[in-house]
Amino acid sequence: MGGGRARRPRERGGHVLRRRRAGVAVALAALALAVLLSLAVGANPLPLGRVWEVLTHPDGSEASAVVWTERWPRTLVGVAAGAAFGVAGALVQALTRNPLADPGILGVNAGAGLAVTVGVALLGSATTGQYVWFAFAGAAAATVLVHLVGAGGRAAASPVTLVLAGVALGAVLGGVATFLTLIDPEVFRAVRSWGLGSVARTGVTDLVAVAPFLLAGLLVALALTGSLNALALGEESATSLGARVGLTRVLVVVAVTLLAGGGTALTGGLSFVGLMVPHVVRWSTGPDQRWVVAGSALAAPVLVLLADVLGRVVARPGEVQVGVLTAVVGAPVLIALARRRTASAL
Amino acid sequence: MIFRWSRRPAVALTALPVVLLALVGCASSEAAPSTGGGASSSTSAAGGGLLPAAEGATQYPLVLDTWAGQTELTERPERVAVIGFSPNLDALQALGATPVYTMGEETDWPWRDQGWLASIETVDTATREDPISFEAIAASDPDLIVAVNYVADEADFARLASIAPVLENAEQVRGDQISWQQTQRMVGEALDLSAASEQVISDAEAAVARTAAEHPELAGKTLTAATDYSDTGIAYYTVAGGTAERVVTQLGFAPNPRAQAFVDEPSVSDERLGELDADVLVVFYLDDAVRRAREATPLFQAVPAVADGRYVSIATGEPGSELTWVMRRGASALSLPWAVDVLADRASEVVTS
Repeated sequence: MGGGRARRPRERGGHVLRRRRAGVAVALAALALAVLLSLAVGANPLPLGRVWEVLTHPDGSEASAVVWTERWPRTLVGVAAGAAFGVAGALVQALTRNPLADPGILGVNAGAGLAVTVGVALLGSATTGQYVWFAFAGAAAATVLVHLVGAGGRAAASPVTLVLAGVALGAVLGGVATFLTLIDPEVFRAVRSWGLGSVARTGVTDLVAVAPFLLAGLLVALALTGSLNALALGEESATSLGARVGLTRVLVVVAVTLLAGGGTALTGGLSFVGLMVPHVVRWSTGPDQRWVVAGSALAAPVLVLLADVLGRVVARPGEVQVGVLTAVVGAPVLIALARRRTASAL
Repeated sequence: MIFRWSRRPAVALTALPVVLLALVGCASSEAAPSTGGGASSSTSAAGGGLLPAAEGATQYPLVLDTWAGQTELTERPERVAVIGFSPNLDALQALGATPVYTMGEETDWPWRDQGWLASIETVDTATREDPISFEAIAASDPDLIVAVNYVADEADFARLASIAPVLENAEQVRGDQISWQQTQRMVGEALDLSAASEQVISDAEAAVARTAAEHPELAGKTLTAATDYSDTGIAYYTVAGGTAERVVTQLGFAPNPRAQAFVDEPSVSDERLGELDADVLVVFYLDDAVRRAREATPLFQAVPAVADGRYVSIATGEPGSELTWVMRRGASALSLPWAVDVLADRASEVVTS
């Protein structure tokens, strides 16, 4: 973006690169393991050998249906939504230069939740396929609104006004949605649980429909990383390095809308993922946004899949939604790292 | 703030809330005419003919022992407030006893006598989904509060007990294990209508037995009833030893051996839908969209009862959908005769086809 590639000083040398490569290798291995776990573990106690059998040779048996129609879709949704929230979190933290920011700060979740509520109110009920588009439209509308309010007539919002506008509008939208759900609790029962966050709700069809938006968001995010590195030095330095500050900020909001909006549409929102994963990644990669974004895209799905697998086994024969467990799984990691290291500055 | 009424309040003090409540009632009935309005002040003199004549079997003072504390009825109550799930109100309707206060109902139950409901002094706009309206209960000046299976904690009990004696279970009972007969008997004893309550219970049981006799094709078959809550998955209703299972066994069904697995955790995972299997499978759905989604999954189609067409599906709003509630928390002397007819007819269709 704008040609501003702010190179980090060279004295960091080879060991950082080696560590980053090792980190990427570890993240990839963890992701592969998490995917396998997600396919192998569930409420139905299939032997591992049988899982492998039906994975390689689908045969129309019950075991095959469990793996292919229950576990495979939710694994894909977990990977896609996890990566989306992880990258969106990294972007928002870089943009606002606030390590405690998460995608929800732009009003994404509140907008999606309100849109789903209104959608259900208008239609009387909705299929998950319809939920996805309501949520996506709501998330997009909310972030645009937050950005317009935050910008207050200027081209781009400053990070501080953006956060303020996001928090304020998020509260208003959330309040309106709560008010609606209280009017008729029976009708909105499904909406309430929708907000908890689940990867088991959305089928592959909806995932394929949302995937282009997620991919577009991911590409924009990767393209912005250089400019975000420049922005980290402060606005004036960034401008003198050739980064276009206003344009970068607008594009970050676009990318977050695509990613967090798409992720929320698929799952109902997994808020802690976007807050925590970029932290953990930064501790390992340092503040270079190119690595933080790439690392978050790999590490966040691991957290989501592990949390989901845990949710399938802790309350047998029932299940606990992944949104309830991401924080339970992730928080101890975050606390342990926070105690061991100096905080990850931005 | 909370009004705390002594047992013999000054006339001026009682007049004020009644007037206020009447005003509020007018306002809220205009705002929500569909729910049968808010408070409607009846012209009947307080205690005048609200209850059938006493049988003289109950000895007052009567100590009401509950899991949350103890209260005492010094004499036979005349003004009864009733809160909680529909069976509590059913227990009074079955006796022909008119309460002075009840919560609003979110559904027009087929077994509810609407004329009788309209004759109740205060039908609150708040339903079981809302916090207990302590002030409205106090304003109705009750001398007994029927709250069986409904008091959440000791603090709520204390607030209710400061208004009037409270009827609740001696031990906390899990929602799916409630005995409707016990609720009916407790209400009967408190109101000195025990014999009438026994009659109500035996009439209801006889009605169920009649329906069972009309459907010999169901005898000895197993049945699973469950509700698909979509996001939170399927909840198993006919758990072993629970209210719903007792209802279907009275109808002639045999206990389902698989029902034992769901006593502690009644949710059915999407991966193990096979555990729903029975000779007859009844699934309730939140709405038609949820039903379509569920019926499209291969694992649900593979459940033997579904594959063989021994499957009944009822979505909210369809005829007979109130059956869900009766299986869940709504079993009573009034609702059961209605519910077993619906259930037997629907089950019979799929068993004999």
